[in-house]
Order: sequence, then C-alpha cells, then structure tokens
Amino acid sequence: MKPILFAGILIFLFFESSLISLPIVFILCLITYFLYPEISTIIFVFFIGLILDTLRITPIGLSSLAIIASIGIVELIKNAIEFKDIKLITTFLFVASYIYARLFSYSPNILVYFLIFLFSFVIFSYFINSRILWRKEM
Amino acid sequence: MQKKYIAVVVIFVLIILILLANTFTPIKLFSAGIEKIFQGPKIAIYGIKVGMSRDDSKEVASLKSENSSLVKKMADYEKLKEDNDALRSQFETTDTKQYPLLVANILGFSGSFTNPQTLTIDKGEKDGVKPGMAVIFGNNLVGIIKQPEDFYSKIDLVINQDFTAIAEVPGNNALGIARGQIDFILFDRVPINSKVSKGDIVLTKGEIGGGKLIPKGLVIGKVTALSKNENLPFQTAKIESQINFTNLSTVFIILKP
Repeated sequence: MKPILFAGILIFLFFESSLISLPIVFILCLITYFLYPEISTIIFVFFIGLILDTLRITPIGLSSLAIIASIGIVELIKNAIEFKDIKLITTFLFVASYIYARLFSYSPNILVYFLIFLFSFVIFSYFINSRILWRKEM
Repeated sequence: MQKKYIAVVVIFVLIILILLANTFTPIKLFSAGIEKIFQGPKIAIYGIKVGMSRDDSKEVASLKSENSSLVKKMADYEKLKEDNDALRSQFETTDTKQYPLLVANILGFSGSFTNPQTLTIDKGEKDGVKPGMAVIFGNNLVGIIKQPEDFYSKIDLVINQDFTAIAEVPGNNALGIARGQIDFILFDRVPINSKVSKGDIVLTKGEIGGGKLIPKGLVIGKVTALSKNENLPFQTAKIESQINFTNLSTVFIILKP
C-alpha cells in the first residue's frame, strides 16, 4: 500500500495547480504519515514539499515546512490524545488542509474541504473496517 | 521512537536552512531541473482544464469574439479621438504589434477553479522575463509578472488584490488607479469632476519604472458600475476585464514597452 500512496502523491504533483486547486498533495502526505509513521515517510514528504514549492513558485521549503510542522504537531500531541480515532484524524486533516489552503492561495471554499473531510472519513472507515488497510502502531 | 523525533527536528532545521538560502546554486539547479521535467506534462494537463471550462456553444463563442472585436474598436476609436492632438497622434495607439512579445504557455494557476488569481507560465528569467513586465492577450492586459524563476514565472492577474496600475478613460481624461478586488477591478482615486460612464473602456496610462513595465493603451476592462458622492473628492468605478482567465492557455509578455 505504501508504494501506491507514494506513487499517488507523485502523480498528483502533476495535477495540483494545473487541473485542481486543492492541496491534495499536502493531504496525501499527511494521510501517508498517519498510515506509515516512519522516517522514510518523513524524508519522502520533505522532498515532495520541495518539488511542490518549485512548481507553485513559492519559496522553496515552505510546503515542506508546513508538512513537517503538521507531522511535528501530531508527534507532540499523540501521547496526550488518542490519535487512532478516525474522527480525530479526519478533523485534523480538515483543519490542517484548510489552514494550508488559506496560506498557500488554494481554493478558499470551505464547503469543498468539508466534502473532502466527509469523503476521507468514509474511505478511512471502509478500508479499516474491511481490513484492506491497517494503520501501523504510532 | 526517539529516532523519529530526531528525524523531524533535523529535517525542520534543514528546511529553515533551505528557506534562508533559496538562491544557493544547488537549490537553483534542483528547482530548474524540476521545472524542466514537469513543464511538458503540466502544459498538457492545464490544456485539459481549459477545455473543461470552455463554453462549447459556437454562437456564444462567436458573440464573445465579436464583442471582443467591438471593445477593441471602441478602444481604438477613443484613442483616435484623443490622438487628434497632432504631436501625439502617431505614438499613442493600442496596437501591441509595436512591442517585442514573448509567447508563453500557461501551466498552472492559484485561487479557485473558476476565478484564478495568479497564473504560472513556462517562461522565466532565462527567457528574458523580468518582474513587473506586462502580460497581454490581444490588446487586453492579463496581469503583470510577479516572480520569475529560471524557467517559470508567476503572473498576478488584473483581478488579484496585489495588482495596481495607473489607468485612464481616454477622451474623458479621467485618471485613477486600477486595483484588483478578487473578482473585479476597482477604478479608484478618480477625481470627482472627471466624467466616467458605464460602458467606458479603461486603459493603462503607462508605467515605466518603479518595478513596473506597463505600456500605455492596454485595455484593463469596461466600466460596469459607478460610485459617486459629490461630497467626496474622488469617485470609484467597477471595471470588469474582457478576458475569461479560465479559458486562457497562451499569453504574451511585452519584453520592451
């Protein structure tokens, strides 16, 4: 599953900002980290952030900073909050992606982010309940 | 667990260093390589987006084309009226053929799907693009170059909040500042005694210097509403650009105004 997610992120680099104005790559990077909280994932999303900044003509490193900062927040609060709860994960994704979208001039329509939140909640629930996808221990 | 914390901290520090050294040669080489790799596919994908947002109705397309042509004629007519002044008649024209132009393909946008605020094009500093250069389509001003990289540049569209330009209604000598307001352009700081009417075409006054290279006589848009209070020294007008930015796939950069 991990290579598929990595490939998906690379494919969406082509589509983001050319066909869609939503921070899909950012969301996928965070989802990948939730599913595979490993050092290799951190390094991968760091490079993806650099590529994303180059393509969007923003100072190189800003997107990586946003992704790594989000990961840092997850790492800091995961001991205090039960971060295995899908509702909490999707809410975190919703808030983080909306803030990221506002800061990086993506589509500011909150309804779209709410729909993404619902969609990711349904997908996560389906995959985990049907045992197709298992989150690793954080 | 400890290793993960260390990795996050190390990468965080690395990002800060990268942000501080954005013009460092290896980072420039990295970004130039990425720009080249993604250029072709992104142009093709943006073409799909343009195709999706384009109105297929032939009649509407024909009317739009006719309307655009009439707007150009009106602008030329107003210009000709003004150019009766013998000394200026040969030099003030909206014809953009006199400028050296650089063709650029659009490969990305930011803002919403139907109302983009910036466009990314496939020409950059290596092609001679500089910040402040005017970007046109026909004789309409699309925006100005904000941030050129080696092979890509970002354009602030005329509706972008960061866009400002000195503008005029030719013939009426109404001078003001055009400012982007996300979904329209505001013609601001127009003296109250200047005559501005609905349907007037607003053109650029021309700005060379101060980080801008905008020639005179480019169409910014058409006045669609007015706000006038005799007690105030200035009036404002709402301008709508004649360009549908979602339908653009190619633009032209004026290299020397």
